[in-house]
Amino acid sequence: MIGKYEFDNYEDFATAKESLPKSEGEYIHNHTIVELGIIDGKYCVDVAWSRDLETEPELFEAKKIDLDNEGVHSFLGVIYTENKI
Amino acid sequence: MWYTDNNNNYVPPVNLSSIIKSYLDAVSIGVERASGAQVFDKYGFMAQIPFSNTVPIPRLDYTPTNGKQPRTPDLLLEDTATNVIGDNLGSGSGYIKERNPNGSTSLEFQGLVDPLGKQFAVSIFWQGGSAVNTNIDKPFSQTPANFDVANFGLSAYIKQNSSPRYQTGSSNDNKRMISARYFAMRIKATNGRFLGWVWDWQTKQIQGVTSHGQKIDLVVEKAPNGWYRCGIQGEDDPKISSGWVVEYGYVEPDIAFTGGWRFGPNTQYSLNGLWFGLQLESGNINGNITSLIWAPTSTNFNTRAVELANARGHSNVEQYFEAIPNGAILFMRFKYPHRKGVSGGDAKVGVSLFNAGTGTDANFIGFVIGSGQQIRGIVKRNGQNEAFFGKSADYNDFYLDNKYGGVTPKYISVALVFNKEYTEFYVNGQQIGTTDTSSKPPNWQGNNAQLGIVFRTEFTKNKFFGRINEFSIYHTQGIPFAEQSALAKKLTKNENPLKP
Repeated sequence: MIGKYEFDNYEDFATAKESLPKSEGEYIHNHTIVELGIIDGKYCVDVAWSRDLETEPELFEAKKIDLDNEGVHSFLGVIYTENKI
Repeated sequence: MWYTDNNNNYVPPVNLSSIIKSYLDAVSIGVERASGAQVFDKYGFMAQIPFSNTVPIPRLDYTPTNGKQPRTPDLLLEDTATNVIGDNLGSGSGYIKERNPNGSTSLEFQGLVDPLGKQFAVSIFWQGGSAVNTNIDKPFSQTPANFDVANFGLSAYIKQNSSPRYQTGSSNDNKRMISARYFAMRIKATNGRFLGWVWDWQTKQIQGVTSHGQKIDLVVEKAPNGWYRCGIQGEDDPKISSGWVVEYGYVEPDIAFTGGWRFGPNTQYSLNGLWFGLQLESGNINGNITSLIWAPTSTNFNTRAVELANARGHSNVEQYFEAIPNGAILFMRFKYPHRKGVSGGDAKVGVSLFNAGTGTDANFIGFVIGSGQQIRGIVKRNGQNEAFFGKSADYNDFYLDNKYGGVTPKYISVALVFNKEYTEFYVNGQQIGTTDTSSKPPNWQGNNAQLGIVFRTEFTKNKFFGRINEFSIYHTQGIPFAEQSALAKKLTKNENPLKP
């Protein structure tokens, strides 16, 4: 499932990312996070959540945006508008 | 036993011998990959494995080596990578590009079949006036934030377009088009510094071209039907600033290697050639060029999601492994991507008994690619190392300089031979260390446990990325240990003519 997010700044994204599960200081999730960078003043991130995700992390969910098109970035072969989280 | 698909789950190259066939039927390897991905199929064409949110499909890849189709595929596992060049091939003043001649009679293509077996390739040629100092450029205005210019791969599929023709319909009517001898591609920053490659069709050699002696690796893959994939991989500080652009086109012999790139042809003729699959990739690629990340009609930049393999078995399969302590050989043939100097970071491939729920693997037999490229053979029983062997690998273990000036990864074969007391480890036909005469095999018994083939530690960290051509357990019960040793040595010599 694909999620597109707009954080106010990089620090907010870093905080959200920090909330993902770790073991011995290393991230252990299998999600694919693509940092798009700053677009229109927002720090934009696309995430392909792995299938074992049960609930969208709260700090991400709060920054989720809903586009009616694919945006500027895609996960290969995945149609965002048909696979939104 | 090879590549059976009894459960319609695309069993990868795993050969577990007939004694545990029932186990294999129950536990075919699955992958996690939240996107599509490309492979070469067994016919030599590139194909896209589609995205599936329900049953992701492993990649059984037949990427040609030196243009030849391998007889058996590799299970291909790659990390996340983003191609920041979309299908829009960019524009340069004076150039035109045409694709798919169906519906267009303006060009005569000869052999225009791209590695997809279709006609997505693009013929690019000059149609301007007398200007000669230009090129096709592809600015990537939307640069991912994590794009790391010290950690990139820049590549393209190229082919000569030998069809003789004359251009019409412009001021250059009847100018003869000839197939370019030198194809070139580079990434360039606004400060003028660049890194790139030049391919010479006459000598079939690639050469790196950098503005300030930046260190790069060169890659050439010979693909079917006259195509080559050429590229460079970043190795250290590229010494370029922001404002990157990808340039590609043709250079002339007098300036091909001087760094003063002039992409255009002269006024007497027009240079011509075929391009496909331009890729400037970034991500956790450690400077490797990975498989093509390409969508035929997308101008977006695309990401291939991280790809993980795992095979957790069903419970109550211990019976299939109980006989193994009486003698078995665990064998794997694999290779790394193109990069020189890969650091594995303790990536693990082996057979484990997992405690359901925790996913830990206190009982394990298999191989670990450790940091510093050490290849290890390890047997663990109840959380303790029973046997541990390590070989510090170097460039020659992993790679071969190919005749095109690039690097070809080599298969590495590893084997652990063991019985109730003895364990030995072999790498490419050589025993590593000495025979461990007091090692016990893993304890395959467990309550509510699952046997599985693990491609990483604890399912999450230190993933194995590369190509696995074979992963087998040879049951050798009743065979004297000395004969098992000889068999393991033979197996790892890569002499099997049926293997690539």
